[in-house]
Amino acid sequence: MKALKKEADERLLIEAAQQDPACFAELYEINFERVYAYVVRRVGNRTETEDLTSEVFHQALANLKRFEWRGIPFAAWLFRIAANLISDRWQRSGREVPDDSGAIEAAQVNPAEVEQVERRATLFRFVDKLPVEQRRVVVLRFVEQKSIKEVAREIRKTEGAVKQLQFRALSTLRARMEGADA
Amino acid sequence: MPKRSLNSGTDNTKKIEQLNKALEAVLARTDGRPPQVDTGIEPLLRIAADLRDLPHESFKARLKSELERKKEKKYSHCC
Repeated sequence: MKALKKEADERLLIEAAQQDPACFAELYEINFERVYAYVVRRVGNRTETEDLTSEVFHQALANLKRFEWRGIPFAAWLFRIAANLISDRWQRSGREVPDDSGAIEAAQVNPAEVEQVERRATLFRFVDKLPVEQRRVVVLRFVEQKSIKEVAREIRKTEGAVKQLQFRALSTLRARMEGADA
Repeated sequence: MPKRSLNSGTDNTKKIEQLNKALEAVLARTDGRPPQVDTGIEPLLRIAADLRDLPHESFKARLKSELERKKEKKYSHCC
């Protein structure tokens, strides 16, 4: 029932964005983490991931009017755009395709991959909901890859306090992820 | 009132230190795979390994404004 409601809501949002592109912002908010998680899983590199994620949304916005609702989630359409862009890029650069990426047919999106992507996207969204100090530590430590000493200096806390915030943040995220899985 | 173990504070400190040591290993590895550790902190390390791919907040905001500018440009010369 909940899934049907979600599907109906998504359909309405897409139709609204097709009429008025201002509504695309909401589709972007809902799908940003998914697309990013999908791309980073395949390419691994942050700069390239940002570049490709950006291309996916630019292309989606440009072609939104062509999207036809067939009961398939909007995210699947975005994943397909991403898969094609990655495939093109690999072909252009003559890069060897990694075996475990399922990229022999790079434009294919498999359900197991989507499940993993969805899990990561959920985790990324949970980070946004962490208390400010915990979130700051997570960003400095994992995105900016700073040492405990550097983080401590930046947020004006002791190294012990930073380690404690790091521990709390990861424990909170773990609990929320378990709740999301249940 | 339930009694707290006198060792609970020490245990926690030990766990926090243990986690941080393992995290250093995760962050240093190019594949980001968690090292072999105590089962208690293993789920936290898996979360940490995934967080290495967390998008930068500024990137999300920057792309959003780029898309907004593009929309405005596209529809500004229609009327």
